[in-house]
Amino acid sequence: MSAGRHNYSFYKGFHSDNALDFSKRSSFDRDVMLERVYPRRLILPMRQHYGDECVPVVKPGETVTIGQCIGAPAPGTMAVPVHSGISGTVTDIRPIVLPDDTTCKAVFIEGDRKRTFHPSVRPRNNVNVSAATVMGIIRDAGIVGMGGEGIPTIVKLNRAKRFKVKELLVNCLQSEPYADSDYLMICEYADHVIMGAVAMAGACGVRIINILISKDRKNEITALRSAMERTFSKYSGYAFNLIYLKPRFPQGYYRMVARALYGVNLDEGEGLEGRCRAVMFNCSTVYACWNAIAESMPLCTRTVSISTEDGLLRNVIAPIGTPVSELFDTVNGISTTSKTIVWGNCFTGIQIDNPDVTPIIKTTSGVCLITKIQDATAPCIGCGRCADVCPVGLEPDKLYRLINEGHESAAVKFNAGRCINCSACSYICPSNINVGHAVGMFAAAKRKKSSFPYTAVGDRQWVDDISLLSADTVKAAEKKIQKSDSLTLPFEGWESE
Amino acid sequence: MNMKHSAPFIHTEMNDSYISIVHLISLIPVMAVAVVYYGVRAAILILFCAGVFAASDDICTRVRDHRHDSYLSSLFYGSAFALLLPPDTPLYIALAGVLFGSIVIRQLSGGRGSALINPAAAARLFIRIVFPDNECALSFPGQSRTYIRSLLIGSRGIAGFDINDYYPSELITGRYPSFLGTACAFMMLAGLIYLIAKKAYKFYIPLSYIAMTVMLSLIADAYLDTSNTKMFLLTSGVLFTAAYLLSDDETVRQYGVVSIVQAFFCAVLTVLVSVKTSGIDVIVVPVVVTGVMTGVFDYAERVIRSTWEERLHVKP
Amino acid sequence: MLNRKQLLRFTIEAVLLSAVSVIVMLLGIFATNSSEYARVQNSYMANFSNVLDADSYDRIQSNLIEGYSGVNAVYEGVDANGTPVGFVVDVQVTDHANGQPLNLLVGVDYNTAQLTGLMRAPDDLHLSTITDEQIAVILGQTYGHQIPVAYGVQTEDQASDSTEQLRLEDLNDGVYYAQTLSADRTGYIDYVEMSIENGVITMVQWDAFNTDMNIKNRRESSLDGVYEVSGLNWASQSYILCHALIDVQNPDLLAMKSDGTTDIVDGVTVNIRTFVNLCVECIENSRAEFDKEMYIAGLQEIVDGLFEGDFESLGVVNDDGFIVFSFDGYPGAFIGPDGSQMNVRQRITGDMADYSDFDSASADVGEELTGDYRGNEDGVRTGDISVDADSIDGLPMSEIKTYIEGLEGQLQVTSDIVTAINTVYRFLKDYLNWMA
Repeated sequence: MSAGRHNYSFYKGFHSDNALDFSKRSSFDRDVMLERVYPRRLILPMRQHYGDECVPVVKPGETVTIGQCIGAPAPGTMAVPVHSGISGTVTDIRPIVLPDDTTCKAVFIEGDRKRTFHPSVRPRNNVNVSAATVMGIIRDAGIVGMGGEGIPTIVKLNRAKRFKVKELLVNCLQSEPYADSDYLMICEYADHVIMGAVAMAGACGVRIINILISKDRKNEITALRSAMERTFSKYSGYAFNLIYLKPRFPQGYYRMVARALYGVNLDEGEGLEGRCRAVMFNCSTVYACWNAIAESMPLCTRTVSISTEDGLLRNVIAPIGTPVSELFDTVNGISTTSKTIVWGNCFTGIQIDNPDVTPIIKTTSGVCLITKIQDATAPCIGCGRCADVCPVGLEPDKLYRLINEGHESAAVKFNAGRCINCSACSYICPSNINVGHAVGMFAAAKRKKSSFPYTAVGDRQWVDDISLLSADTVKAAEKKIQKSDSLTLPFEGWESE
Repeated sequence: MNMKHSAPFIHTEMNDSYISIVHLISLIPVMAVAVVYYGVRAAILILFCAGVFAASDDICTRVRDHRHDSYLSSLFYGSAFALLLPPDTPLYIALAGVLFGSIVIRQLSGGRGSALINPAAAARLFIRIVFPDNECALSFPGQSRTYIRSLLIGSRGIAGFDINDYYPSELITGRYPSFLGTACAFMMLAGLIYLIAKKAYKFYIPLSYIAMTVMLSLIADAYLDTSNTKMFLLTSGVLFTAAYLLSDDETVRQYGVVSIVQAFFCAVLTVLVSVKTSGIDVIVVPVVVTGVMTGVFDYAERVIRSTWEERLHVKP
Repeated sequence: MLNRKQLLRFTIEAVLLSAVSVIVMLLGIFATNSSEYARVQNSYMANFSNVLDADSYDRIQSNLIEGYSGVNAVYEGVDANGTPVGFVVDVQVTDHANGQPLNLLVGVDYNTAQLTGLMRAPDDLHLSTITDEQIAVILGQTYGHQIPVAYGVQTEDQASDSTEQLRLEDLNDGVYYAQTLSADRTGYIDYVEMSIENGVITMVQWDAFNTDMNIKNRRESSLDGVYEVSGLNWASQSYILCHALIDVQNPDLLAMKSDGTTDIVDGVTVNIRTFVNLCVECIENSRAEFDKEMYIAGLQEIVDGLFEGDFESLGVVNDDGFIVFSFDGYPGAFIGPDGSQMNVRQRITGDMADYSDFDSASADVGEELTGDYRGNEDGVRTGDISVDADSIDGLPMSEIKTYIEGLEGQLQVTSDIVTAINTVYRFLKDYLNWMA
């Protein structure tokens, strides 16, 4: 195990000047690091990931338990199961529209406060399971990329195996301001993160595990080191490395990691697996994987940061599907009056108006309360600060002018399509111009359909691995689809291993 | 996506007003020098120039398109222009310069953010060309602090003082006849440090400029037998350029390699001009030319960067 | 825009930065004072030592210098003890040959008003046709002589002989003083102070203080333009008159007419009767060895006697130490036993001996100056006083102290250089109270 490598960073990006300094929190806050939220109800969308919608497998009036599968993927779809995080009764199943304009069915569950677990949820006696078992567990647990991308983890693992990656990267670089959930989770469950990384590395045949973290995260680094030391002796076949990167936003984005670690600029459609022979998972995802392996607990809860610009912060472990309003109810002293509620983080989140019917989903790492000050927009002064912070090396001020003046081809020529919509330029603009939104929307419209690595037609074949039926080919799977096969019984396969 | 309010939901506190105020406050040390040494007339000149610049900008903005531009940057340009003037400059000359800088340089090019060259530097160069006799309107610091007649009629100025007679301590504290704000190296450095500390200015820009200036000045000393580097640094006003003129967001790129290249270019011009002439030319001519060349630097930087990025597309 | 917190922070930063800047500047000034002084003195020494020999020089700052035509700068030379040695005046005149300016440095002794140096100023642009040699010739003729200067002939022996002939006799050395016992209609009490050395009157000063101590002396008032008389301002006329007395050494020789004016002192149009009477009293006091201190003490004693020892509470002593008291309401204070009018000396010493030998001694002590300040009643000559026919460079000929031959065949050049010297005289006389 190495002591930690150099201080990488891509050369752009910035450290937000209003990122809350959580080291200055009160001792009460530090001691009570993670609270558990027990909501009265859940709203479980059937699509909380990048892919297709699941099919609800419960009916209104039916009793459910913690860890029970509520929604199952239909055969041939790129979907992962959805599980309930509370015990109670299904009250309704109806379409909802999520803040990101996702329209899907949602299962409404009214809790019974009993916290009854599904019988399948119990600690596993032997965690040394095979790679295939790990894949199956992860598939059935409904785990997706919890850092925000929402890619089904099983898809990424399969892709990693296909590309024969050499390294597994654990992304502990939560660099958005007002967000702390990953770090708290690392401090509390460092062992889980390490073990999860080992499991996933073994699943995709990788022996090198690199933990990416900011150098200033002393507590987290200490926790990880201790966990690595304890694990190293048991799994000496793996190489663990701590890689320190500068605390910049958006350091954790895969393109930024590619540039920082491997010095490559990924083209549209390229991923880490193909160019850099590495696969990256968010630390919360890794933790969820180990939770699924060791505790047989599917992904039905996650750590969420609740923060306000006044410095109030709570990190809670909340069942997925908890309405945002119920999250706020758990925090004393919080007031939503005259505040903007942001579903997600300050840079990439979305404003919501109805927290009662907006749930947190698998990819929601935080909710924020911000006083949105509508400062007047001034003319662009050409200061170049946006270009200074643009992580992908664009000149947003010029692109903005070109787009506004209708010179779209020129904007494309100046690589407007590379924009990752991180909003760093809008954040830094002294004239309060929402440059990032304009350029990002333009980029999204102009980007090729196949630009995202996980939408390539070729990857569809790996989707079948997460269908209910084990089939060798897509066609065979389609033929064999039967209605009963649309149900997934959680971890039914593990006892046979 | 169909969003009511889009991200980001927080904004850096360094908005336009913040940056402008930081720049204004950074001028306080050199303003203090001017007022302590030259008294009432210095204060009146600075306030007059700043006020008229802001008023002119405001009027032009309203006439143009009724959008409100922050007046704080106008105050900065007006103050900076005043600080480049000799202390006995009459108000009508100052007025001419302010109107040139505000209307011709700034507003006719499109207002805030559109000026090609620094309005304060351009205005000062205008005064230099149109009123060349005004360059002699110097006086000894610390004398006649209550004298204000020069604001109406100018002055005979002083003649025959030799800067080489001055002790280094006097040069550092600015106790020699000079322009209002370019005399005291110590205070200009204080303003520079403030700008950098408030993160309104990247440290490598003035560092590059000063380093290149020192290096070229030493070469000029050795081969051309010009005035010595220490004297040049303390008395020529290059520190004013480094601190206040090159920190102008609107006309000088403040990021990346291009900012360093611009700083180097400005330093080369500074030393070249100083070999041929002295006085305000050394301060404003390089800044004006550098501003004009901004577009060229931008283009060159883009070409180089795209070539560099292509090199990054290598298989690991 | 900025929120309140940011504004407050910036305000505090600005105030702190201002305060620190000013403090640092002041400290810097304090720290560099010695360097600056040394440098400036080195420069002055290099420039002025050939014109005026002094240990250090101080530049005189005054708005009046800025507006005074012909004068660029004035420097005072002092010795090691800080005693003024003289003045160096940077003066500019026009070379009438080509109309170009000529800057000269003129050195003048503080006490004797003698020329100590004359040279081209270092910052002169050499546009004039006047050469350094020509300046040196004029310097040779004027060096060590009193200013102002005119070109003509007057021997020194003649001047000194005239002084000898005019000396009064039996004068005792010292400083003698006399003041009018009653204020005039405008509240002024005139006084004359006279210095006698080796039996010769060497200094005479005529001024008046007002019973209203908030009003300035008559000399200052006239320079401020408050007190106006016809012709030259009262301060100048007083100066001229005093110097005329020094020249003639005898008040009788001022030829005061019955109306109190005189025709022989050019430029003096005011009533000189009070001056003459006070001068006579001073001369008498000198002969009686009743000096200024005794006079002041005597006056105090008289006032004290009037108020039965309550002098301190009266507050009649002004800042200059004069006793500002009019005896208008106390006519009996100076009546002798035989009913005759006494003066202070006679009142104090009881010595009624006659020490005067003046024809024009008058008992009109306390004669008022009638009318307003504009002086129509001062016996102004009808018509304007003409200075062109009998003056040079705006100075009456009676003031000219030195006559030179000038440059042979180069009268204009001589005139131009002499103008510079006389400009210095005029300035020093008018603005530096240089009348002692």
